[in-house]
Amino acid sequence: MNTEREAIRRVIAQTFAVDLDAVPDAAGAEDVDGWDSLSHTVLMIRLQNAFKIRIPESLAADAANVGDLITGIEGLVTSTHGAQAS
Amino acid sequence: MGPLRAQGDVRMSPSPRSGAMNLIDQVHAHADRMPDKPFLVHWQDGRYVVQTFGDLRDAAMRVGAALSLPADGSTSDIVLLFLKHHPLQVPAYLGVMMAGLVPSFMSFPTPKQQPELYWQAHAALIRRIRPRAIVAYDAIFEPLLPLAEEVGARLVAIDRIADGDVDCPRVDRDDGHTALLQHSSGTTGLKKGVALTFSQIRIQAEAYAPVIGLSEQSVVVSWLPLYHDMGLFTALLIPLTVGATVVVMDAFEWVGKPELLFQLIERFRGTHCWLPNFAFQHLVNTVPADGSARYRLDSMRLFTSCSEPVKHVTLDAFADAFADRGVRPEQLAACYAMAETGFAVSHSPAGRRAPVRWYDADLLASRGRAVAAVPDRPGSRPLVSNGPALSGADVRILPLETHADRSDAGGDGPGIRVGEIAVRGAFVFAGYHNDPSATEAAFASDWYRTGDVGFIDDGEIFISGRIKDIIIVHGRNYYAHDIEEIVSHESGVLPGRSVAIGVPNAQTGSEDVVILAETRVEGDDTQRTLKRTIKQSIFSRLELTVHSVVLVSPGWLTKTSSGKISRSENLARYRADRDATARG
Repeated sequence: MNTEREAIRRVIAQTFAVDLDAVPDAAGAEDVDGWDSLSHTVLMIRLQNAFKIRIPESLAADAANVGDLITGIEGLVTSTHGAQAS
Repeated sequence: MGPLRAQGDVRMSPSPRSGAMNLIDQVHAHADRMPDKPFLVHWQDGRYVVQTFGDLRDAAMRVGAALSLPADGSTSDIVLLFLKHHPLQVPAYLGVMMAGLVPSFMSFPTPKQQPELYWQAHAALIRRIRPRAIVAYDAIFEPLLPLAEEVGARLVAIDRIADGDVDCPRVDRDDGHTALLQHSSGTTGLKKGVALTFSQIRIQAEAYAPVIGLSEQSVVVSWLPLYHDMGLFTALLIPLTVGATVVVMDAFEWVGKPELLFQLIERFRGTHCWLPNFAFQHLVNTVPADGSARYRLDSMRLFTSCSEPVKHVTLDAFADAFADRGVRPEQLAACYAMAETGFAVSHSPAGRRAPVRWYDADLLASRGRAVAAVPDRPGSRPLVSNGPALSGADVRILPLETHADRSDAGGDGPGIRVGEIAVRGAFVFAGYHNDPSATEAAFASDWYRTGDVGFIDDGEIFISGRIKDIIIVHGRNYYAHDIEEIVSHESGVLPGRSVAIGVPNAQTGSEDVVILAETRVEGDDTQRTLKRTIKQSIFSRLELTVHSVVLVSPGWLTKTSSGKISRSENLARYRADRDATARG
């Protein structure tokens, strides 16, 4: 299991107060209870704080599903802190 | 229906003045007297443009000239403005008035709404209103063009609307002439147009501005959309009347960058800001309260909570979170307002924190009596005072006997009787545009029935509930039956077997909409698809993100003795099930 992906998924699940299995890669915002534009902002800020990254608006707005978002965040973590960071 | 008994008169109403300046006269007067004073600071994507009162008048007159051209066969005087955040949004609105026409801001399609569903809903509204012109931005011309042609409306591009002559013929409008239409909640095609006259706008501004200390020296900072009554009045009409300055940003930009509000307050020395309760909570949830604080808020005179229930805990959380930035409790105020009265009915006194009083929760809910209770104890419910009624507003509490199904419709007992809040006065609207039956239903004699439940304690207005099945999400009102109507038409949902309920969410400071829908559809994937379809359908038509869709088996929903599906009973059952699940 990729622990970084799961760490990102945990932040998502905690933000919406749901179980990890409620936010699979294929889930879109409309599949997750309470995911709206306001809570999306809260999520972005939590992800930024948790992984010490800056999330560009393009990723924040364009990720089609949880998997896309996690992949984008992973890439940011790597480019910001190097491959070993988590 | 017999005469309604009333209690708790608060104010007497003044009458409109003849010969008073209307809003357009004010634009000319400000532009003559202080042409270089900034009226509008338009912020967008890190840049801003300033429009002085002189600029505003010139741009509005260009719009007025463009719209004064003869109509292509239309007899309507209404102009709909489908506009995003745009520097010419305000001049366009005022220019419509200068041309002697009646403007109405409309919400516009967002990227996540399915265009065909959005336009399907708005086509019904456009066909009903048959406007004389529609002002819009280029990206929505394609869907609007056939509609405009069908109803004989001119379609005008906002980017080219002010290119012409400044020489707008002056159209004098009587104080009692309709100045604007404000569209209230409701399924788009059935939205009711609240018609307000120039005198109602002026009287509202003259009654409200002194209470909040709004003057030429004031600076309003706002992200509120102008198609919402709170945005229209607090970020345009009232500041314009008194000659204040407004700093405006895009609502969508603010949602993604909440701290931008504080940045603009510091930069432009903001003094007044109106926010729905959720927005206070969103700032608490997203803006760091620690040493990274960069923006000072000392210049603020008032942060006013309005347009959804004002929560005591949210105001406290805001004051605590941002005390280091200069937020003081006395900056935090509460306001009771609605489109049908222009805007404010009452406002807590400026200069002190909106007072909170505690009442016996059970007596409020089960007996309709407001009885003082010990603060911070189980069974005590805090309510934030909305202050005394403005000068010009009479407020009464009407008995709830006609709502026999309500548990708080009682009568006798200790304390103060709770009832429906009714308002009368010079700034209360006269009726809905071309909708006599809705108008008749809204009034009891000359009292506007607000649909809100509350009481007057020592001259101050408290709201404890509502009669209308309205769910207020992020400061916007949605009728439960409108949402249910959409759900009922989804394939897979049993017709008439769904209910939309509002569930308070302490985390967001607002209400969540939860749909309970009966279905025979089985299987995880199929049910997931159905839930997604319901959410998308509601969002595209109402721009409302539903918190959750709960699919239940046929017969799950509880009906009342009269055979209607009961929202309150199903809400109670949903909460009980949810709490049981949470306990494991």
